[in-house]
Amino acid sequence: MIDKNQQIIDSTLDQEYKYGFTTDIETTTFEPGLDEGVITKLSKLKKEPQWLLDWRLKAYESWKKMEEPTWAQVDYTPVDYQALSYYSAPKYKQNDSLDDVDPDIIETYNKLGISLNEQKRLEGVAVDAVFDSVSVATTFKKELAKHGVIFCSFSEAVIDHPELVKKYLGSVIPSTDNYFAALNSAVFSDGSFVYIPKNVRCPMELSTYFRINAANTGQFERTLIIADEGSHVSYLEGCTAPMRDENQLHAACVELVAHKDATIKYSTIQNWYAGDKEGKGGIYNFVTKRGICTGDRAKISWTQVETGSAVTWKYPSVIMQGDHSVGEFYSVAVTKNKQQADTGTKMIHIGKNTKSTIISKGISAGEGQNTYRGGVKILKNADNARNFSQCDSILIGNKCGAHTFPYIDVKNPTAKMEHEATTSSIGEDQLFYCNQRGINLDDAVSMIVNGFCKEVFAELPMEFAVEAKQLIEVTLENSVG
Amino acid sequence: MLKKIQKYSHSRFEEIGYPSKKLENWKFSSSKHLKKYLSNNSDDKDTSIDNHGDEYTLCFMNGEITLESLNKFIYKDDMTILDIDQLSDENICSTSSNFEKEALFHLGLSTIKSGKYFEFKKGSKFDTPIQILNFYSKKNEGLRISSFNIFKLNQGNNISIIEKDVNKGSSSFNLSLNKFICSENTILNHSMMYDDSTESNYLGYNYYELGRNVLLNIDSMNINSTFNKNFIEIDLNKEGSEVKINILNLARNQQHLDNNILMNHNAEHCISFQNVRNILKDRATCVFNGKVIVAAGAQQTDSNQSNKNLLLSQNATAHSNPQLEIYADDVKCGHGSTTGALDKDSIFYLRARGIKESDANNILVKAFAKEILQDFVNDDIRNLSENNLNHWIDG
Repeated sequence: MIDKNQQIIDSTLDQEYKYGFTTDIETTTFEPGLDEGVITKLSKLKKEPQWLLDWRLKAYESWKKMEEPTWAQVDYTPVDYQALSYYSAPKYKQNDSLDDVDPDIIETYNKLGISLNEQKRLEGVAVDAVFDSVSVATTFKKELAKHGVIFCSFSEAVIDHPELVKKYLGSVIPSTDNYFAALNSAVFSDGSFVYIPKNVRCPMELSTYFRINAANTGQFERTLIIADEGSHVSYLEGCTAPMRDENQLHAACVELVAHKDATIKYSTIQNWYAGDKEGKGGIYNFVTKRGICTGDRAKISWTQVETGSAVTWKYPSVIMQGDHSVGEFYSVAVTKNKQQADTGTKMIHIGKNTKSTIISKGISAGEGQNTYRGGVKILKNADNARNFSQCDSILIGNKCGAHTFPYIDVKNPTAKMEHEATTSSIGEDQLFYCNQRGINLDDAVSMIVNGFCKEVFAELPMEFAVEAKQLIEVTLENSVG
Repeated sequence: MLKKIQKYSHSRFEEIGYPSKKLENWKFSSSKHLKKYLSNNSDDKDTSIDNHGDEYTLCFMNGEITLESLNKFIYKDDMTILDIDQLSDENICSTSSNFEKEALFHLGLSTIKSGKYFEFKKGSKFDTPIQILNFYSKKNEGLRISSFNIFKLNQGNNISIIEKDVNKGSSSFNLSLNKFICSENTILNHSMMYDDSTESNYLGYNYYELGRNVLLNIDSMNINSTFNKNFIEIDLNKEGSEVKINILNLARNQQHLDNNILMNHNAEHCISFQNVRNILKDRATCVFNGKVIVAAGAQQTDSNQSNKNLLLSQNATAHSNPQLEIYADDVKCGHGSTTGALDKDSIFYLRARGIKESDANNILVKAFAKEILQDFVNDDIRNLSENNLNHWIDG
């Protein structure tokens, strides 16, 4: 196994960030700047109904009045929101047939290891590919339609399923929720839409692959997943961006709605460009993710592996409204060089006998700063609510930082809440033990870190788990000196 | 010099104003009801108190030391006692950068009439604990009573300080500011006992500055406080120091208890433990805001925070924010927090042995509390606390 690891490490070491290339294609890009005109133009271009435009404008109004949050343990040069372009799309229009997609884009996704060609795909994963501001292709749509599953780009959903979009859009994350969510609500350009009908177990894994290509743009996508009564879906999300010297903004919103007895499993491997060693460039990843268990026995599970982005600000949350509903959060966050991550979750227990689990693993190397910020709220009526949180951090090197900020509010005496956290370096005795058995330093570190993250990797779908493991190995290469 | 500091504090307070709930440290405690309390005037003093304690007691009357207690104080020759106004070194009065941001700290500082500086002489022995009695005697309603004292321990001092508050008369807002400077190789045991029946509001700012090889124990027990918010900040500035904090809070009715602890590990090889437990009945609320900051370079730090809350009623609320901020890699830091009710299985176990339910509950509550009390350094305080605990549980 060690040999295999070494090969993987060697093969990837030559490139610092292998997804850092750009694709040269013709695009339609808005002039930089943001005002009502731009939002109206965006809405017109996407042929949106009036109610959606009104919703966007309302969000914009409230965004203007908001202030950018400063409470996070991150430090970055402020974003000039007027200097960004809010829409950039390849000129080719999306169509049902892949033949209509620009071959350069297909090539891009091939290079990223995401084949849009259905035959070549691994059995059982449908992909929605989002390129800059628009969804360029969605695979296996017809296959899924047979089961009644709707899986399409957000823009299509607005036109084909307006009743569903109107009902659920903003129901979990109101347009006025926070600064970045309000901005996203005003200017979101595309994203994925999933609806799983009653009692359907989605026959394949669904996934979205986000790619930022154009310079000087922000990516604002919106994902909405609705799992109707008794249904089940597993959704994967991956992201990459080219290497550029300037910082780019990614402000997404993800809303999950799980009805009675439904299960949603949402996995993310976030590998945006993280900037170079001096901290120049990289993506600002300011994302709002939230799910709601509306019915009894619903379950939402978030799994995330965060290795990229210059700055991460992300708190996937679960509101457990239905009785016996379950919320889970499994996270591995790695920061190296000058990366900063402020991530965690919020578990809100409203219903009776609700249960939440938080497992968060932070790894800081180089000058990286890694923060876990989590909230657990057990409200008055949440009888017998149960929470278990565990947040562990590993520090590699003496310039990095690991921080833990849990907020725990319990208003019901029958609730049981436990939180524990540890922070430590990789023990010299552990390394010594490995070295003594002929395992070199890098392998030893990678073994120990993988062991440390095992609980989270176990929650990832198989394909992602392998990718995540490799990603961590490559990320941490040479970080122990 | 005091005037100068007060002038600055006054302008700072004017600038910031009463803390709002938007501030992290005040998120769960409202300062609204504190606004009605106005600064005390010296005429409103109850002179009927003639008990100034024994020869080991320093008695403060509404924030100012009484001459009677000072005159008979047994250790007075082993100490230098000065008015803060007489100090020439401004650094002695300086406080932490965090208190600097606290509006009510400035409010307290700007309204004190006088403050004392106690310096313990190098090499002197202080075998019996020093008792500090804070008398708050209020004939009139709505008084705000501020005090500020500085204690300096010199090399080799081993000192126990027992601080007790005694409230009489109407309710008031007691704003107590203390600074402890612990030089190299000193031991300080600071016990705080709060027991109040006048529905007064207590707000404390205690700042400890530690040198090399200091051993600091802070033991605190809190009962019957309507509003008690205590800020403890400790700077571990040199290697080899060890800090242990044990706090037990008992609250009922609408009482609000709040512990804010900030531990700054600025040097290598230091150890700190925080152990805070809250037991809540009725509609009581408690807040634990603990933070450990391990600065870059503070290697070999060993730090642990533990906060456990026991909710005995449907309407009690516990807020717990144990936080870690770590900038050094060779450290061992951990924290744990639990909140819940009494374990049903344990109650069943006791009942199955013929113990009636209410007794079983009491046994378990006592056991939970005693895990803190058994670590109290001072025997007398431990016994007193146990009595208070029994009394509280039965009442």
